[in-house]
Amino acid sequence: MKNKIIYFIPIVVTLFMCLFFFFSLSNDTSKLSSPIIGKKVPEFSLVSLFQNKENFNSSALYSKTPKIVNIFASWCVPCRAEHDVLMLLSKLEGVEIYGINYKDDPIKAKNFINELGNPYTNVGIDEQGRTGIDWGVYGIPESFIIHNGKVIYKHIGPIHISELDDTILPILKDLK
Amino acid sequence: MKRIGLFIIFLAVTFYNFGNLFSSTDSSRELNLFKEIRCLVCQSQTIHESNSELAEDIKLLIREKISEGKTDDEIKQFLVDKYGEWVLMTPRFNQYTYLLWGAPLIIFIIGFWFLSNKVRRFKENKE
Repeated sequence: MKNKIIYFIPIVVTLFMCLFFFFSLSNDTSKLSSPIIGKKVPEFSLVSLFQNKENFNSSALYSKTPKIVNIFASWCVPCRAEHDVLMLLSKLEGVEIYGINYKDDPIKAKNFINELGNPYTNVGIDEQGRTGIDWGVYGIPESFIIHNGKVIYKHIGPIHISELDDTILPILKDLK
Repeated sequence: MKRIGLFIIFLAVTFYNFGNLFSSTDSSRELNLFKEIRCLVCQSQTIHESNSELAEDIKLLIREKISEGKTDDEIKQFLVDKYGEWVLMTPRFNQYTYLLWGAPLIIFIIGFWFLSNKVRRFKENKE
């Protein structure tokens, strides 16, 4: 009898594996957790998109008030969809959004902002995408919440209006 | 005669590839790294296979780091710091992966134990 049981082990193991793989199917690998969360922001100094503004440096993010860094480009369709939400967010008290213009033509980026409005305190130009790599960017738009020069939260993809209430605003509130 | 000819060709091909394995010219280092880094846009491809823009950018970055004199491990560590352990196609051996790397050995030992038990019992029955 004892020997018979042994023959069922492979069947049971296979069943467990089937279950495991079945549930793994619904894992969303497009949203990876980022290793830069909890770390200091990468060092950078980017020329501003606005003529009357100074370079956008990482030092601007070392501040007691939380900052949002949004990585965008004019060629990025979801960025366009997200822009209204950023406009709304920028109007809230004590919220400052900085932009990194990722692999874009500065002229097109300016048109993008002129057309849709400017939620950004400053925008740095990252034409080569090198600063983007330093931030671990792989699919824009990506947004980061920064506090005291430390990355607190990363949002991949466009921020939906519902996510503003559910995640972004509560985090900002906690930091204040 | 034909056999000897084939054998010589076999040796030549083997040694040619063997030589490639140990030569550490920059272009082969580069290629080995490209095949080792996952493309994050098209996630099941390496950056070597992918022609997405991000893959091209990371290839460029790796070339630059090689010319700066960085070692393979330093370059991999740089990318792991930015994108996470997942960016490497071959997981490194550490506290999270020891089970993964050890599993074949464990399975082999269990199998060996199982088989040797069987054989012993079979022999006992025979006697």
